[in-house]
Amino acid sequence: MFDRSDGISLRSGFVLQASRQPDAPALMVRGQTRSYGDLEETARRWANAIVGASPSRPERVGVFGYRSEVSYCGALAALLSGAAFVPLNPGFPAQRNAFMIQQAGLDAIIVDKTCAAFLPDVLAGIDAPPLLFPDIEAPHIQGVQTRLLDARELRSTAPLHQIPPVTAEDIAYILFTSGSTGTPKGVPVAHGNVVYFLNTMAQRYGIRPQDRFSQTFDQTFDLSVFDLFLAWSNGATVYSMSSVELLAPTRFVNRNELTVWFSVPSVAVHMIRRNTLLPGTMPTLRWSLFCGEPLPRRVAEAWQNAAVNSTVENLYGPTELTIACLAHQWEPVRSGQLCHNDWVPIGRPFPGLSAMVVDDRLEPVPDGMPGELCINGPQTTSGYWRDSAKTSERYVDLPVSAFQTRRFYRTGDRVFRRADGEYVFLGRVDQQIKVLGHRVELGEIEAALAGHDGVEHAAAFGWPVIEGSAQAIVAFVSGGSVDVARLTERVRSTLPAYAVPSRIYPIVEMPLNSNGKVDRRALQDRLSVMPDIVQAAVESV
Amino acid sequence: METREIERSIRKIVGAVSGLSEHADADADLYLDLGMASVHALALLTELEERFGVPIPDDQFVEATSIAKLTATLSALLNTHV
Repeated sequence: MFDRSDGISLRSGFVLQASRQPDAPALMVRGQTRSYGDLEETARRWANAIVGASPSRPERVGVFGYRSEVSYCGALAALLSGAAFVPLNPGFPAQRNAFMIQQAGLDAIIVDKTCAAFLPDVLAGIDAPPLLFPDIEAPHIQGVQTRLLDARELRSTAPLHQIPPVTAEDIAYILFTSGSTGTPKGVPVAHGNVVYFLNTMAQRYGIRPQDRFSQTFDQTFDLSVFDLFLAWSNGATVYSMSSVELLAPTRFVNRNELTVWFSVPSVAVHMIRRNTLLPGTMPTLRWSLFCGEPLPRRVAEAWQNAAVNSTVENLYGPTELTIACLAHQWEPVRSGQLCHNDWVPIGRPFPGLSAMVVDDRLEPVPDGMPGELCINGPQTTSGYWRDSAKTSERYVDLPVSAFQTRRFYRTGDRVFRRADGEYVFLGRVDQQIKVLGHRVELGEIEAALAGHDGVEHAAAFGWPVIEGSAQAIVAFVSGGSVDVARLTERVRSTLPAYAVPSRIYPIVEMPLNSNGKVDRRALQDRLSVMPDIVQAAVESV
Repeated sequence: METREIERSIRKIVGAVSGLSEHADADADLYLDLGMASVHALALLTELEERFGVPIPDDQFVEATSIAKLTATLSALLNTHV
């Protein structure tokens, strides 16, 4: 069934593998293994249903599933229908999922059993596109008037034979990231962007059909595209982990004899704190890859000792640059000397990408001097979804010679380049932080807090910060009579789970600096002398 | 501590850290059926240990994926701890 007229796209690797080795395992999820042939046939059935339910060719299809066969196969089905996939997340508030559905203009949504329970709230008050329920009977949703296709109907739909062709410029997926003004930004990633990345990765790591990949990231996190599609493009198997299994992954790694591990460093930080990251305990791994937040040196060391047969790498990259664009390979002796602030360097740009470090006037700075990292190349995406103002702010033309400019994405990350070509991460130029690897704009949290329930000023912090990664968020709010419980309830309805402050402290007066802005340093000092925040949270239960 | 009381505390903590209803089905898988995220799992583990004053081995916590299973795990841990 491999369609040779299909250009190079995110789905073509999977389709090729399914024709080469239909009986090989492609996916293990919730204890069930699915072969390439099986998964492809199912995805083609759903793709056919999507095409049939859309009045014109489907362009964007939502996937509202959580670490389930439906959520993984749903992404494939969207691609096979010729559309881009747009992941939604049950951990996001209904409002945010609804915003994403409307912004992206979805032609259909594939919904799994877990997420079906969240659907009535998500669809309240918006026009719903056709809905596919591959693992349940079609539910009745009050007030929703659209085509519903359920498990029985999808099983009897014929597999889509001719898959609509796509070009390198067509969108493969759209992900939404935190926006500083309070609304998430859509990042469309083209097939050409992601195929270039996957080819680089396949060569770098020598991926082969015998490889067994961890799948640790939510699908709303672009690093999940690495887990799924790097494995599938090369005939390997994906092992989906539940969100709680991430807290103690050793048993999972050994039971499934994983060979490629990819997660945020926070997973390892947690294991070190709990004394479960022990020498020699994960011998099957051959690659141990970390991305999403700074990699602390002692995490690299401890993981290397645990996964003795693996090579540890620190990957770096924002969604706008397609998953990852620099990497540093950890070498116990040499790398230790290169660490800065006890963080492992982010390494060198992948072949074919160029990096530039600039000052705030976008002038290049010399090696060793801090500046903002900008990247150009085949992984630089085209810009934000339907937002030309934000696009021109972050995607800029920079001179690469006296006669030529190229389009660079400004990462907002402060780095310096060492004379040997290694890049070193220093922090952010703005107020974006990472909570367990998730991108969070503090401004978005402050916008959600301020202006409601009597809040005048709000200031949010990543806190506590352990080795460069915020464990949670706390916020100070000032105003006459703030009802913290009500406020928490309210922000829960607008912010994703990881961005909801774990503690909100009402204060009588917000400290201001001489410019009349919130004095963040004064608040930071206050935080550092506060009693144990965890303890306080428990007392309130 | 009585099992019923343990379950009630667990329900409260689950609700506080994740926003899930305190009346969630005791046998539903918090992560697979109810979609609880890993940040919430982490917060739940921390808060349970603080509230009950016993260390919960990670391997046991990872297996205790429903309110009913958490109640059983904590009851056992509290009994052996006395």
